[in-house]
Amino acid sequence: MRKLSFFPIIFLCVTLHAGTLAQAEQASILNSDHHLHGHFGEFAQNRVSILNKHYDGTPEKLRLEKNENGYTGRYQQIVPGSLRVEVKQTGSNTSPFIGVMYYTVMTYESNGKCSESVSSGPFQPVRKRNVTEIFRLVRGEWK
Amino acid sequence: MFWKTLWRTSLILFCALVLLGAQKALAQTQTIIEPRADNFIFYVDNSGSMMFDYEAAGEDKIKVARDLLLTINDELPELDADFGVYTYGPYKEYRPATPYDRQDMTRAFEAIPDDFEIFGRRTPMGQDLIKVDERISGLQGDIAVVVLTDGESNIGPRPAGVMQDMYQRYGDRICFHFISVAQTAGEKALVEELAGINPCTVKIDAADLQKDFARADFIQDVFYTTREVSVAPPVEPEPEIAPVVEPEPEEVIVFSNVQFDFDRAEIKPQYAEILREAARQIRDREDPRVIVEGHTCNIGPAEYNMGLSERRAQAVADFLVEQNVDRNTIETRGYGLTRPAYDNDTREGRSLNRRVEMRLE
Repeated sequence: MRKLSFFPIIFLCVTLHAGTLAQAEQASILNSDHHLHGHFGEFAQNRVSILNKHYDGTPEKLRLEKNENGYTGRYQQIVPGSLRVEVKQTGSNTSPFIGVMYYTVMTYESNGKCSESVSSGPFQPVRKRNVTEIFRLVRGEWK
Repeated sequence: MFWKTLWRTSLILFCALVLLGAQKALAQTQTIIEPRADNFIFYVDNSGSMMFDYEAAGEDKIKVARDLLLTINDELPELDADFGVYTYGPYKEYRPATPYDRQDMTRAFEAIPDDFEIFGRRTPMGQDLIKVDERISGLQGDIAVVVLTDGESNIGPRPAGVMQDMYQRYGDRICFHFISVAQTAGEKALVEELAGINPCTVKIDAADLQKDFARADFIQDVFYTTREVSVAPPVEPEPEIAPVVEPEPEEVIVFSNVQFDFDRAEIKPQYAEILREAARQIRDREDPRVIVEGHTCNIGPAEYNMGLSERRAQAVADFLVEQNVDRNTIETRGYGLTRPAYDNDTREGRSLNRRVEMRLE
Protein backbone atom coordinates (compact mmCIF):
# COMPACT_ATOMS: atom_id res chain seq x y z
CA MET A 1 0.00 0.00 0.00
CA ARG A 2 1.29 3.34 -0.96
CA LYS A 3 1.89 5.60 2.01
CA LEU A 4 -0.24 8.65 1.84
CA SER A 5 1.70 11.90 2.09
CA PHE A 6 0.09 13.72 4.90
CA PHE A 7 2.08 16.87 4.60
CA PRO A 8 0.10 18.40 1.73
CA ILE A 9 -3.16 17.51 3.45
CA ILE A 10 -2.04 19.00 6.73
CA PHE A 11 -0.75 22.01 4.88
CA LEU A 12 -4.07 22.44 3.07
CA CYS A 13 -6.09 22.09 6.26
CA VAL A 14 -3.98 24.62 8.07
CA THR A 15 -4.19 27.06 5.17
CA LEU A 16 -7.96 26.73 4.95
CA HIS A 17 -8.37 27.13 8.71
CA ALA A 18 -6.10 30.15 8.72
CA GLY A 19 -8.15 31.63 5.94
CA THR A 20 -11.33 31.16 7.92
CA LEU A 21 -9.75 32.71 10.98
CA ALA A 22 -8.56 35.65 8.96
CA GLN A 23 -12.04 36.19 7.59
CA ALA A 24 -13.47 36.17 11.13
CA GLU A 25 -10.74 38.58 12.27
CA GLN A 26 -11.34 41.29 9.68
CA ALA A 27 -15.11 42.02 10.13
CA SER A 28 -15.73 43.70 6.83
CA ILE A 29 -17.20 47.18 6.76
CA LEU A 30 -20.46 47.47 4.90
CA ASN A 31 -20.87 50.08 2.21
CA SER A 32 -22.56 53.27 3.23
CA ASP A 33 -25.47 52.54 0.89
CA HIS A 34 -26.21 49.29 2.70
CA HIS A 35 -29.57 49.50 4.43
CA LEU A 36 -28.05 48.62 7.77
CA HIS A 37 -25.73 51.61 7.51
CA GLY A 38 -28.68 53.96 7.39
CA HIS A 39 -30.42 51.98 10.07
CA PHE A 40 -27.46 52.23 12.40
CA GLY A 41 -26.99 55.88 11.49
CA GLU A 42 -30.47 56.67 12.76
CA PHE A 43 -29.81 54.71 15.92
CA ALA A 44 -26.55 56.60 16.43
CA GLN A 45 -28.22 60.00 15.96
CA ASN A 46 -30.82 59.07 18.53
CA ARG A 47 -28.13 57.85 20.91
CA VAL A 48 -26.31 61.17 20.60
CA SER A 49 -29.51 62.95 21.66
CA ILE A 50 -29.92 60.63 24.65
CA LEU A 51 -26.31 61.05 25.74
CA ASN A 52 -26.46 64.85 25.42
CA LYS A 53 -29.57 64.83 27.58
CA HIS A 54 -28.12 62.66 30.32
CA TYR A 55 -24.58 63.88 30.81
CA ASP A 56 -23.68 64.82 34.35
CA GLY A 57 -23.71 68.53 33.54
CA THR A 58 -25.53 69.82 30.49
CA PRO A 59 -25.89 73.38 29.19
CA GLU A 60 -29.37 73.40 30.71
CA LYS A 61 -28.34 71.89 34.04
CA LEU A 62 -24.74 72.70 34.92
CA ARG A 63 -22.79 70.59 37.34
CA LEU A 64 -21.71 73.09 40.00
CA GLU A 65 -18.82 72.42 42.32
CA LYS A 66 -17.79 74.63 45.19
CA ASN A 67 -14.06 75.14 45.60
CA GLU A 68 -11.64 77.44 47.42
CA ASN A 69 -11.91 80.06 44.68
CA GLY A 70 -15.69 80.03 44.45
CA TYR A 71 -17.54 77.80 42.01
CA THR A 72 -16.85 75.76 38.91
CA GLY A 73 -19.62 75.10 36.46
CA ARG A 74 -19.21 72.24 34.04
CA TYR A 75 -21.12 70.64 31.19
CA GLN A 76 -20.47 68.08 28.50
CA GLN A 77 -21.68 68.05 24.98
CA ILE A 78 -21.10 65.95 21.90
CA VAL A 79 -19.50 68.17 19.31
CA PRO A 80 -22.07 68.71 16.57
CA GLY A 81 -21.01 67.14 13.31
CA SER A 82 -18.47 64.86 14.97
CA LEU A 83 -20.58 61.68 14.64
CA ARG A 84 -19.32 59.03 12.23
CA VAL A 85 -20.68 55.46 11.88
CA GLU A 86 -19.57 52.14 10.47
CA VAL A 87 -21.45 48.86 10.21
CA LYS A 88 -19.40 45.72 10.03
CA GLN A 89 -20.21 42.13 9.16
CA THR A 90 -18.50 39.94 11.71
CA GLY A 91 -18.98 36.47 10.33
CA SER A 92 -20.28 35.41 13.70
CA ASN A 93 -23.57 33.62 14.09
CA THR A 94 -24.40 35.18 17.42
CA SER A 95 -23.72 38.76 16.32
CA PRO A 96 -23.38 38.86 12.52
CA PHE A 97 -23.40 42.67 12.42
CA ILE A 98 -21.90 45.28 14.68
CA GLY A 99 -22.26 49.00 14.49
CA VAL A 100 -19.46 51.33 15.52
CA MET A 101 -20.12 54.96 16.29
CA TYR A 102 -17.38 57.53 16.70
CA TYR A 103 -18.01 60.98 18.21
CA THR A 104 -16.24 63.67 20.18
CA VAL A 105 -17.35 64.82 23.63
CA MET A 106 -16.16 68.18 24.88
CA THR A 107 -16.27 69.20 28.53
CA TYR A 108 -16.60 72.94 29.21
CA GLU A 109 -15.89 74.77 32.45
CA SER A 110 -16.53 78.20 33.84
CA ASN A 111 -15.20 79.60 37.10
CA GLY A 112 -16.60 82.35 39.26
CA LYS A 113 -17.15 83.71 42.74
CA CYS A 114 -20.77 82.65 42.88
CA SER A 115 -22.97 80.14 41.16
CA GLU A 116 -24.85 82.83 39.24
CA SER A 117 -21.74 84.32 37.67
CA VAL A 118 -20.47 80.86 36.81
CA SER A 119 -23.64 80.12 34.90
CA SER A 120 -23.13 83.11 32.65
CA GLY A 121 -19.69 81.93 31.58
CA PRO A 122 -17.47 82.27 29.71
CA PHE A 123 -16.92 78.57 29.32
CA GLN A 124 -13.64 77.16 28.18
CA PRO A 125 -13.08 73.65 26.82
CA VAL A 126 -11.14 71.62 29.37
CA ARG A 127 -11.46 68.05 28.14
CA LYS A 128 -11.85 66.44 24.75
CA ARG A 129 -12.64 62.77 24.32
CA ASN A 130 -12.83 60.92 21.03
CA VAL A 131 -15.30 58.19 21.95
CA THR A 132 -15.97 54.88 20.25
CA GLU A 133 -19.08 52.87 21.08
CA ILE A 134 -19.78 49.45 19.62
CA PHE A 135 -23.23 47.89 19.31
CA ARG A 136 -24.55 44.57 18.00
CA LEU A 137 -27.64 43.98 15.94
CA VAL A 138 -30.11 41.77 17.80
CA ARG A 139 -33.40 40.95 16.10
CA GLY A 140 -33.38 44.17 14.15
CA GLU A 141 -32.38 46.31 17.11
CA TRP A 142 -29.04 47.78 17.97
CA LYS A 143 -27.97 46.95 21.49
CA MET B 1 -49.97 140.72 37.76
CA PHE B 2 -46.45 141.99 37.24
CA TRP B 3 -45.03 139.77 39.95
CA LYS B 4 -46.89 136.79 38.57
CA THR B 5 -45.43 137.39 35.12
CA LEU B 6 -41.98 137.91 36.59
CA TRP B 7 -42.25 134.71 38.59
CA ARG B 8 -43.37 132.72 35.53
CA THR B 9 -40.61 134.20 33.37
CA SER B 10 -37.98 133.46 35.99
CA LEU B 11 -39.19 129.90 36.33
CA ILE B 12 -39.07 129.35 32.57
CA LEU B 13 -35.59 130.85 32.37
CA PHE B 14 -34.41 128.70 35.24
CA CYS B 15 -35.73 125.53 33.61
CA ALA B 16 -34.09 126.47 30.33
CA LEU B 17 -30.76 126.99 32.07
CA VAL B 18 -31.04 123.66 33.86
CA LEU B 19 -31.84 121.89 30.60
CA LEU B 20 -28.99 123.62 28.82
CA GLY B 21 -26.60 122.63 31.56
CA ALA B 22 -27.79 119.06 31.46
CA GLN B 23 -27.41 118.93 27.70
CA LYS B 24 -23.93 120.37 27.99
CA ALA B 25 -23.04 117.84 30.65
CA LEU B 26 -24.25 115.02 28.46
CA ALA B 27 -22.16 116.17 25.48
CA GLN B 28 -18.56 115.18 25.94
CA THR B 29 -16.16 118.09 25.45
CA GLN B 30 -12.48 118.65 25.90
CA THR B 31 -10.74 121.95 26.74
CA ILE B 32 -7.90 122.73 24.38
CA ILE B 33 -5.24 125.15 25.69
CA GLU B 34 -3.33 127.02 23.02
CA PRO B 35 -0.52 129.54 23.51
CA ARG B 36 -1.30 133.03 22.32
CA ALA B 37 2.18 133.32 20.84
CA ASP B 38 4.94 131.04 19.63
CA ASN B 39 7.54 132.82 21.74
CA PHE B 40 7.33 134.53 25.13
CA ILE B 41 10.21 136.81 26.09
CA PHE B 42 10.53 138.19 29.65
CA TYR B 43 12.33 141.51 29.71
CA VAL B 44 13.04 142.35 33.36
CA ASP B 45 14.31 145.61 34.84
CA ASN B 46 17.39 144.77 36.89
CA SER B 47 18.60 148.34 37.27
CA GLY B 48 19.47 150.14 40.50
CA SER B 49 16.03 151.69 40.81
CA MET B 50 14.56 148.25 41.34
CA MET B 51 16.24 148.08 44.71
CA PHE B 52 13.85 150.74 46.00
CA ASP B 53 10.85 149.74 48.01
CA TYR B 54 7.63 148.77 46.35
CA GLU B 55 5.36 150.35 48.88
CA ALA B 56 2.33 148.25 48.12
CA ALA B 57 4.25 145.12 49.12
CA GLY B 58 6.71 146.56 51.58
CA GLU B 59 9.55 144.90 49.75
CA ASP B 60 12.22 145.85 47.24
CA LYS B 61 10.77 146.12 43.76
CA ILE B 62 13.17 143.55 42.40
CA LYS B 63 12.13 141.00 45.05
CA VAL B 64 8.46 141.64 44.29
CA ALA B 65 9.20 141.31 40.59
CA ARG B 66 11.10 138.07 40.98
CA ASP B 67 8.47 136.56 43.25
CA LEU B 68 5.74 137.47 40.80
CA LEU B 69 7.66 135.95 37.90
CA LEU B 70 8.22 132.74 39.85
CA THR B 71 4.52 132.61 40.75
CA ILE B 72 3.47 133.18 37.16
CA ASN B 73 5.81 130.41 36.08
CA ASP B 74 4.28 128.06 38.66
CA GLU B 75 0.79 128.81 37.45
CA LEU B 76 1.42 128.61 33.73
CA PRO B 77 -0.02 125.59 31.97
CA GLU B 78 2.36 123.52 29.94
CA LEU B 79 2.54 125.48 26.73
CA ASP B 80 3.91 124.46 23.40
CA ALA B 81 5.94 127.64 22.97
CA ASP B 82 9.46 128.96 23.42
CA PHE B 83 10.32 131.05 26.47
CA GLY B 84 13.28 133.39 27.00
CA VAL B 85 14.46 135.52 29.94
CA TYR B 86 16.49 138.72 29.60
CA THR B 87 17.30 141.57 31.91
CA TYR B 88 18.23 145.14 31.28
CA GLY B 89 20.42 147.44 33.37
CA PRO B 90 22.62 145.37 32.84
CA TYR B 91 21.64 143.41 29.75
CA LYS B 92 21.95 139.66 30.24
CA GLU B 93 20.44 136.61 28.62
CA TYR B 94 19.37 134.21 31.36
CA ARG B 95 17.58 131.92 29.00
CA PRO B 96 17.40 132.05 25.22
CA ALA B 97 14.05 131.41 23.59
CA THR B 98 13.73 127.65 23.89
CA PRO B 99 10.84 125.27 24.53
CA TYR B 100 9.06 125.84 27.79
CA ASP B 101 10.46 123.96 30.75
CA ARG B 102 9.09 124.92 34.11
CA GLN B 103 12.17 123.93 36.08
CA ASP B 104 14.49 125.66 33.70
CA MET B 105 12.41 128.83 33.81
CA THR B 106 12.50 128.75 37.62
CA ARG B 107 16.29 128.53 37.53
CA ALA B 108 16.46 131.45 35.09
CA PHE B 109 14.27 133.70 37.27
CA GLU B 110 16.09 132.69 40.46
CA ALA B 111 19.38 133.58 38.81
CA ILE B 112 18.34 137.22 38.40
CA PRO B 113 20.09 139.16 41.16
CA ASP B 114 17.80 140.71 43.77
CA ASP B 115 20.41 142.38 45.89
CA PHE B 116 22.79 144.87 44.28
CA GLU B 117 24.10 148.37 44.40
CA ILE B 118 21.67 151.07 43.43
CA PHE B 119 24.13 153.64 42.20
CA GLY B 120 25.91 153.09 38.91
CA ARG B 121 23.21 150.78 37.62
CA ARG B 122 21.46 152.96 35.09
CA THR B 123 18.25 151.94 33.29
CA PRO B 124 18.93 151.55 29.55
CA MET B 125 15.50 150.14 28.73
CA GLY B 126 15.57 151.13 25.05
CA GLN B 127 19.23 150.34 24.51
CA ASP B 128 19.06 146.85 25.94
CA LEU B 129 15.80 146.22 24.07
CA ILE B 130 17.80 146.67 20.87
CA LYS B 131 20.09 143.88 22.03
CA VAL B 132 17.06 141.71 22.76
CA ASP B 133 15.72 142.57 19.32
CA GLU B 134 18.93 141.20 17.82
CA ARG B 135 18.39 137.92 19.71
CA ILE B 136 14.75 137.48 18.83
CA SER B 137 14.72 138.71 15.25
CA GLY B 138 15.35 135.18 13.99
CA LEU B 139 12.43 133.65 15.90
CA GLN B 140 9.60 132.13 13.92
CA GLY B 141 5.96 132.90 14.62
CA ASP B 142 4.43 135.40 17.01
CA ILE B 143 6.37 136.99 19.84
CA ALA B 144 4.99 138.30 23.15
CA VAL B 145 7.43 140.42 25.18
CA VAL B 146 6.51 140.67 28.88
CA VAL B 147 8.24 143.74 30.29
CA LEU B 148 8.65 144.04 34.04
CA THR B 149 9.42 147.70 34.66
CA ASP B 150 9.27 150.41 37.24
CA GLY B 151 8.75 152.98 34.51
CA GLU B 152 12.33 154.25 34.54
CA SER B 153 14.55 154.67 31.52
CA ASN B 154 17.36 157.10 31.99
CA ILE B 155 20.00 156.22 29.42
CA GLY B 156 20.13 155.36 25.76
CA PRO B 157 17.38 155.58 23.17
CA ARG B 158 13.79 156.09 24.25
CA PRO B 159 12.13 152.72 24.75
CA ALA B 160 8.96 153.97 23.05
CA GLY B 161 10.92 154.64 19.87
CA VAL B 162 12.56 151.25 19.97
CA MET B 163 9.23 149.55 20.51
CA GLN B 164 7.54 151.47 17.73
CA ASP B 165 10.36 150.50 15.43
CA MET B 166 9.95 146.88 16.43
CA TYR B 167 6.18 147.01 15.88
CA GLN B 168 6.86 148.37 12.45
CA ARG B 169 9.34 145.66 11.51
CA TYR B 170 7.59 142.72 13.10
CA GLY B 171 4.08 143.88 12.30
CA ASP B 172 1.32 141.84 13.94
CA ARG B 173 3.82 139.22 15.06
CA ILE B 174 4.94 141.13 18.15
CA CYS B 175 3.17 142.55 21.19
CA PHE B 176 4.56 144.09 24.36
CA HIS B 177 2.85 143.48 27.71
CA PHE B 178 3.68 145.20 30.97
CA ILE B 179 3.92 144.29 34.63
CA SER B 180 4.41 147.59 36.40
CA VAL B 181 6.08 148.32 39.71
CA ALA B 182 5.92 152.02 38.86
CA GLN B 183 5.08 154.22 41.81
CA THR B 184 5.61 157.86 40.89
CA ALA B 185 3.48 159.77 38.41
CA GLY B 186 6.39 160.01 36.02
CA GLU B 187 7.07 156.28 36.19
CA LYS B 188 3.42 155.45 35.68
CA ALA B 189 3.22 157.85 32.76
CA LEU B 190 6.07 156.08 30.93
CA VAL B 191 4.39 152.73 31.44
CA GLU B 192 1.13 154.16 30.13
CA GLU B 193 2.92 155.58 27.10
CA LEU B 194 4.55 152.28 26.25
CA ALA B 195 1.33 150.32 26.86
CA GLY B 196 -0.62 152.65 24.63
CA ILE B 197 1.49 152.06 21.54
CA ASN B 198 -0.46 148.97 20.52
CA PRO B 199 -3.97 147.90 21.51
CA CYS B 200 -2.77 144.29 21.82
CA THR B 201 -0.99 145.23 25.08
CA VAL B 202 -2.06 143.87 28.45
CA LYS B 203 -0.91 145.95 31.38
CA ILE B 204 -1.19 145.21 35.08
CA ASP B 205 0.21 146.69 38.25
CA ALA B 206 2.25 144.37 40.43
CA ALA B 207 -0.05 145.06 43.37
CA ASP B 208 -3.00 143.69 41.40
CA LEU B 209 -0.93 140.83 40.07
CA GLN B 210 -0.44 139.64 43.60
CA LYS B 211 -4.17 138.91 43.76
CA ASP B 212 -5.00 135.41 42.63
CA PHE B 213 -7.97 136.14 40.39
CA ALA B 214 -6.25 139.09 38.71
CA ARG B 215 -3.15 137.06 38.15
CA ALA B 216 -5.19 134.22 36.63
CA ASP B 217 -6.82 136.68 34.24
CA PHE B 218 -3.48 138.20 33.34
CA ILE B 219 -1.91 134.83 32.68
CA GLN B 220 -4.78 133.83 30.44
CA ASP B 221 -4.89 137.22 28.67
CA VAL B 222 -1.16 137.12 27.89
CA PHE B 223 -0.13 133.51 27.62
CA TYR B 224 -2.92 131.25 26.45
CA THR B 225 -6.39 130.86 25.13
CA THR B 226 -8.84 128.00 25.55
CA ARG B 227 -11.50 126.44 23.38
CA GLU B 228 -13.95 123.61 23.92
CA VAL B 229 -14.11 120.81 21.38
CA SER B 230 -16.62 118.04 21.22
CA VAL B 231 -15.08 114.64 21.51
CA ALA B 232 -16.47 111.26 20.80
CA PRO B 233 -16.76 109.25 23.98
CA PRO B 234 -13.69 107.13 24.45
CA VAL B 235 -14.08 103.78 22.84
CA GLU B 236 -13.81 101.08 25.44
CA PRO B 237 -11.19 98.73 24.21
CA GLU B 238 -12.52 95.34 23.38
CA PRO B 239 -11.77 93.11 26.27
CA GLU B 240 -8.95 90.75 25.36
CA ILE B 241 -10.31 87.32 24.70
CA ALA B 242 -7.86 84.68 25.57
CA PRO B 243 -7.37 82.36 22.64
CA VAL B 244 -9.30 79.14 23.14
CA VAL B 245 -6.85 76.31 23.41
CA GLU B 246 -8.46 72.97 22.80
CA PRO B 247 -7.28 70.29 25.16
CA GLU B 248 -5.44 67.28 23.80
CA PRO B 249 -8.01 64.60 22.89
CA GLU B 250 -8.29 61.37 24.79
CA GLU B 251 -9.18 58.23 22.87
CA VAL B 252 -11.68 55.98 24.64
CA ILE B 253 -13.93 53.03 23.85
CA VAL B 254 -17.01 53.06 26.05
CA PHE B 255 -19.27 50.12 26.81
CA SER B 256 -22.52 50.99 28.53
CA ASN B 257 -24.18 48.05 26.88
CA VAL B 258 -22.01 45.23 28.14
CA GLN B 259 -24.24 43.92 30.84
CA PHE B 260 -23.21 41.66 33.62
CA ASP B 261 -25.37 39.46 35.73
CA PHE B 262 -26.09 40.94 39.11
CA ASP B 263 -23.00 40.92 41.29
CA ARG B 264 -21.12 39.03 38.58
CA ALA B 265 -18.12 40.02 36.52
CA GLU B 266 -18.10 37.37 33.78
CA ILE B 267 -18.44 38.50 30.18
CA LYS B 268 -21.58 37.03 28.63
CA PRO B 269 -21.06 35.35 25.24
CA GLN B 270 -23.42 37.70 23.40
CA TYR B 271 -21.04 40.58 24.05
CA ALA B 272 -18.01 38.80 22.65
CA GLU B 273 -18.28 40.34 19.17
CA ILE B 274 -18.36 43.92 20.37
CA LEU B 275 -15.41 43.30 22.67
CA ARG B 276 -13.59 41.58 19.81
CA GLU B 277 -14.07 44.72 17.76
CA ALA B 278 -12.56 46.71 20.62
CA ALA B 279 -9.61 44.32 20.72
CA ARG B 280 -9.17 44.74 16.94
CA GLN B 281 -9.07 48.51 17.29
CA ILE B 282 -6.52 48.27 20.09
CA ARG B 283 -4.28 45.91 18.15
CA ASP B 284 -4.48 48.16 15.09
CA ARG B 285 -2.94 51.01 17.07
CA GLU B 286 0.76 51.45 17.04
CA ASP B 287 2.24 50.76 20.46
CA PRO B 288 -1.12 50.58 22.29
CA ARG B 289 -1.49 51.08 25.99
CA VAL B 290 -4.93 50.47 27.48
CA ILE B 291 -6.39 51.44 30.81
CA VAL B 292 -9.58 49.49 31.43
CA GLU B 293 -11.80 51.37 33.87
CA GLY B 294 -14.89 50.00 35.59
CA HIS B 295 -17.66 52.37 36.71
CA THR B 296 -20.98 51.99 38.44
CA CYS B 297 -24.04 54.12 39.20
CA ASN B 298 -24.64 55.45 42.70
CA ILE B 299 -26.96 52.74 43.91
CA GLY B 300 -25.44 50.56 46.60
CA PRO B 301 -22.59 51.06 49.03
CA ALA B 302 -19.49 52.83 47.70
CA GLU B 303 -17.13 50.08 48.79
CA TYR B 304 -19.20 47.38 47.17
CA ASN B 305 -19.44 49.35 43.93
CA MET B 306 -15.68 49.91 43.98
CA GLY B 307 -15.00 46.17 44.23
CA LEU B 308 -17.54 45.32 41.55
CA SER B 309 -16.12 47.87 39.13
CA GLU B 310 -12.61 46.50 39.67
CA ARG B 311 -13.74 42.96 38.95
CA ARG B 312 -15.56 43.94 35.79
CA ALA B 313 -12.58 45.91 34.54
CA GLN B 314 -10.44 42.85 35.13
CA ALA B 315 -12.91 40.62 33.27
CA VAL B 316 -12.77 42.88 30.23
CA ALA B 317 -8.98 43.02 30.44
CA ASP B 318 -8.80 39.20 30.53
CA PHE B 319 -10.98 39.05 27.44
CA LEU B 320 -8.67 41.47 25.64
CA VAL B 321 -5.72 39.28 26.47
CA GLU B 322 -7.57 36.30 24.98
CA GLN B 323 -7.95 38.43 21.87
CA ASN B 324 -4.18 38.75 21.64
CA VAL B 325 -3.83 42.16 23.20
CA ASP B 326 -0.51 42.18 25.01
CA ARG B 327 -1.20 41.81 28.74
CA ASN B 328 1.74 44.09 29.51
CA THR B 329 0.00 46.95 27.78
CA ILE B 330 -3.18 46.64 29.86
CA GLU B 331 -3.87 48.30 33.19
CA THR B 332 -7.14 47.94 35.13
CA ARG B 333 -8.80 50.39 37.52
CA GLY B 334 -12.07 50.36 39.39
CA TYR B 335 -13.70 53.71 40.13
CA GLY B 336 -17.01 52.53 41.51
CA LEU B 337 -19.48 55.38 41.79
CA THR B 338 -16.83 58.07 42.10
CA ARG B 339 -16.69 59.18 38.48
CA PRO B 340 -20.17 59.47 37.05
CA ALA B 341 -20.21 60.70 33.47
CA TYR B 342 -24.01 60.77 33.41
CA ASP B 343 -26.72 62.10 35.65
CA ASN B 344 -27.41 59.63 38.47
CA ASP B 345 -30.72 61.37 39.15
CA THR B 346 -32.33 59.63 36.16
CA ARG B 347 -32.80 55.95 35.40
CA GLU B 348 -31.22 56.37 31.99
CA GLY B 349 -28.30 58.24 33.50
CA ARG B 350 -27.68 55.51 36.07
CA SER B 351 -27.81 52.90 33.34
CA LEU B 352 -25.23 54.83 31.32
CA ASN B 353 -23.00 55.17 34.36
CA ARG B 354 -22.78 51.39 34.68
CA ARG B 355 -20.08 51.20 32.07
CA VAL B 356 -16.58 50.05 31.21
CA GLU B 357 -14.21 52.41 29.48
CA MET B 358 -11.01 51.50 27.65
CA ARG B 359 -8.79 54.56 27.64
CA LEU B 360 -6.17 54.31 24.89
CA GLU B 361 -2.85 56.01 25.40
